[in-house]
Amino acid sequence: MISQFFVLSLRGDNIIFRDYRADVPKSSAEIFFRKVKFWKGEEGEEAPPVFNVDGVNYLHVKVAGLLFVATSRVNVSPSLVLELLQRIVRVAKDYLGVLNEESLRKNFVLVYELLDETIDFGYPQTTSTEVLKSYVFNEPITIDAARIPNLGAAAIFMQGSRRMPGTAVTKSVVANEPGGKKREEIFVDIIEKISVTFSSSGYILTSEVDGTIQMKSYLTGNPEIRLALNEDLSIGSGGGSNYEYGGSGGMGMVMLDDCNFHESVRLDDFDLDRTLTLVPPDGEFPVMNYRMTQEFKVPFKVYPTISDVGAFKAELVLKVRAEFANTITANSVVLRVPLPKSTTRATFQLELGASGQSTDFKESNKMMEWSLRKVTGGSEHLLRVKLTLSQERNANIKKETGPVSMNFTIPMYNASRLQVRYLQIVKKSKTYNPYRWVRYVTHANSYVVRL
Amino acid sequence: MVAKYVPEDPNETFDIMNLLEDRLQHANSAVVLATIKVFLNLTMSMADVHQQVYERIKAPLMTLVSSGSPEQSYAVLCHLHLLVMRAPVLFSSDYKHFYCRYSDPSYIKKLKLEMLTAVANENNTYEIVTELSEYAANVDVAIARESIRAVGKIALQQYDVNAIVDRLLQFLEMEKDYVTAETLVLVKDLLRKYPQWSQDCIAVVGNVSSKHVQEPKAKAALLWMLGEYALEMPDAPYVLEGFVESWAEEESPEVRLELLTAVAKCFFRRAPETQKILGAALAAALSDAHQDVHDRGLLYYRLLQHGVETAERVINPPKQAVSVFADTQSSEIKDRIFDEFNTLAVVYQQPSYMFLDKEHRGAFEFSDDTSTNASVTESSETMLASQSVDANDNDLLLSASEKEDTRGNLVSNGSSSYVAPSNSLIDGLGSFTVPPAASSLPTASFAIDDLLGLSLSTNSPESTLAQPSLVLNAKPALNPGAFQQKWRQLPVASTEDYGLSSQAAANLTGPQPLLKHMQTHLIHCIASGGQAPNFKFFFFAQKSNASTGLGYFLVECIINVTARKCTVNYKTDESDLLESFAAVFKSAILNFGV
Repeated sequence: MISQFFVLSLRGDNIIFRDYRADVPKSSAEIFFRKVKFWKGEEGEEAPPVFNVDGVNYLHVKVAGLLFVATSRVNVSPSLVLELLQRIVRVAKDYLGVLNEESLRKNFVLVYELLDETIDFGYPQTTSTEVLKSYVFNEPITIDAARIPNLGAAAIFMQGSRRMPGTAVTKSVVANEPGGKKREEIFVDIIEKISVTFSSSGYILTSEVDGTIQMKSYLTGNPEIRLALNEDLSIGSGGGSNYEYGGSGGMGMVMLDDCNFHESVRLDDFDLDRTLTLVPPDGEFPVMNYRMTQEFKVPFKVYPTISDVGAFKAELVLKVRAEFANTITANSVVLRVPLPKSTTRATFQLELGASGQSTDFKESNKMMEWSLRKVTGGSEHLLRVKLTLSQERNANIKKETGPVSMNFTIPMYNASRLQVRYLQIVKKSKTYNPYRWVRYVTHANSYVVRL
Repeated sequence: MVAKYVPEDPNETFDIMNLLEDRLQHANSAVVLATIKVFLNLTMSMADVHQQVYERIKAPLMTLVSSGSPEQSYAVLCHLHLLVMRAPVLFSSDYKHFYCRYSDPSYIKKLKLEMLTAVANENNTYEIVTELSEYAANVDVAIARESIRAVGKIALQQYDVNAIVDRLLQFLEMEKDYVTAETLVLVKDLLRKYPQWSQDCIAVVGNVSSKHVQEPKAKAALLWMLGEYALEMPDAPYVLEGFVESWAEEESPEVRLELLTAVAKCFFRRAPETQKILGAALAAALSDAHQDVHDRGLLYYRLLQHGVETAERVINPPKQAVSVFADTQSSEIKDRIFDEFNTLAVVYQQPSYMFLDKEHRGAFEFSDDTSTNASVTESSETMLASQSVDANDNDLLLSASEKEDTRGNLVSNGSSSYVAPSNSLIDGLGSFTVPPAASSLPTASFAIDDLLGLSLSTNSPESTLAQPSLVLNAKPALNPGAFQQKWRQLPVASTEDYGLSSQAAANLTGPQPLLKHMQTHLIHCIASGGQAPNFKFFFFAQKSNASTGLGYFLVECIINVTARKCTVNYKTDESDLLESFAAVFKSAILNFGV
């Protein structure tokens, strides 16, 4: 049961504000924003998503530079409210195509209408785009996608947005195409986020893959869909639980530790031949989330070395090797290394003939950045950084540098080797053949190499 | 809804759980958490299944944490945190999941660090501490601090202290201000617990130049060590001298207090070198604007005037190693939070009454359930009150407990007349003067007077003649020491076994509910303990009008929730009243949860 819902921009402007129960003062948005902005914790800390001021509970979600906030006076279930906020975000995205401050402002009438339908008197009603369609009459005003500054790689790593850039996915689910006839399309994205930690000697300390199968359907008439995954998929390999699904893990198999499914998925045949049957609702939704800690082939190896070359100088060498097949190209690879505090200057020396690479040293937080626009599989890149230190070098230089963190996106590659064998749309007519897109993407979530 | 339901028998429990099993695979975290709440509540009384539930919910929770937005995983992590705190052993093999990710927001990192501390045990300490040391070198200052604190907490849990102390000392060598500061505070705590490590630590601490230490807490810690280990540190007096000289610039009174004490301690150990500094410090303290500093300075000054040895005895007595540091949260609060699983209480780590306005607690609060019956109860209370106008003080005390009983009975009996309350009173107080089937007002008042032991006991001769009547003192006084002594002296008068109702067993998640219940029957608890399913209670009660130190009934009560059985050992110095007391106790304990 929530009392208010509002959307704030990062500057604190009220974009949307709806009061459902009128038991929280109107100034709550201001109180909330001040609290978040000047969170009283120790330096550099962010406000937690849930906190309480004067008996009012504020729960918020940060998406695409916007703060979606719900307030409540009662002891609600936090995950329920956060889940609801996340759904509202998704519904808004389904309707508006692109979610940002501009699109919200232009469509505020529609958004208010949506909010009135999704939440009534503080109780969530429905958050499914499909059901809402029959109650909501306003047409979304699409804003020109081309005019939006393409955030590119940065957008992918922003919290909450996890899809590939491209115009196709940014169009509204409900808006009619200007051409009249709607294009029949379905997108299945397998998005994996990998977290790997390497020790200083190059061993893998921890590795984990978090994946989602995301589906976005533009099909009319909601046909049934069968999605077949690898047959050698096994779930629940993680030690000795009584509820194991059978199938002892062998090498070469895809072993997931655990997974969960969207409510529209029927798992009747899943145990048999690993097919998911579902009737996709309109809009975008995760079909399946999974988690894997089994060892996998890491896409990149990084070899950082640091050495002293003089009393006030040190040299850092970074070597990156792409370990994946050469038909695949990784995009927007960025390496960040915190340098010792006493660093005053860093000069970079790229390889001869290197193109599409740039380097940067930020004086304020002593952080160096090396970005490579494209890295093809099997290639190797090298960067030498000469550091000038203000203090005489000490034994701790190694401790003060690092860890190296890395960000990248590799399309058409997935670390877990989970695959969609086929995507079948069950519909009577033979001629019906909508566009089907199956895409794989791997992001770095936390790819850290220690020095 | 299902969470509050208490199933009739175990089979039903399993039916419900099998039905809900699928929901654990749901992608919506709210659904999963609600399911978990049901599972945990259902299996509360079955210890072994309860453990299995923990095992079962582990994987889905982990998946939820890693999928979804950071906000959602925060909510889930908070719940996981609670579970980890309750059953650290179960999660100790999963410690790698709690390693922080580079990209995690700080609120998540903080929670993860706390969990790492909780799951540390002999086998994984080394790895966890290694991981934590990596964080300490982190650029993120807040997290670096937290992780050093976490290392310290693990050290205080007594696993593999040797390695940890080494690590901490390495931190000191890193020469980052905040790292040094945080570590100094920890080293101080460690030395208080493990004085045997002083040699190693002091050697390193001695090298820490005081210039690097800026924060008040760290300064205070450094000063404490300087004072305490002045003998081992050759230059302690001179470091202290430096501090005293900059007395005026020192802003925190905490540091000034610590400095004063440190100088004094140092003086007792190395008088010749410290005498001058002590003089300077005392003079500075006496002219200090802060009241506490001024007072302490004055106290030391007078103590020293009185005699150096007396002063030493007061200021620097021989210390015992601190074995246990105070736990911040009582187990009662933790239980309350656990009852409110899947609510905000878990996120804030406080029970709901601490952060909500009264009017908004509403349906979530169990204690409010009775309020609907308030009107009914009130009317009967006035009735009872009018009946016992002439009652003395003692009665008033009793009537307080009557309310509880009448309320309970009215709730169950609904509209039944005055009989119900009076009967329950008799049950509750265990008087043996059972009234002849009372159905009218006068008889009811009879009964009340009767069990107060005032008069009219002859009205029901069949029971009163057989047994001397027993009325319990509402406010017996017995301290734990006296209890122990009595317990040792007296022989076990009788031992009995009672079976408990399933509701009682379900209610008995902690010792508190039963204690409150027994108190309404004037049986007080002196000590209780145990973890589900086994609880142990020591109760006592005193005969009213008994002279001090006499007429006690002591009870040891061992309850096994799973088997729904309780074993009761009685001891008393009033052996002729034992049987009546045993009956009182029995009826009281059987009424629990009804």
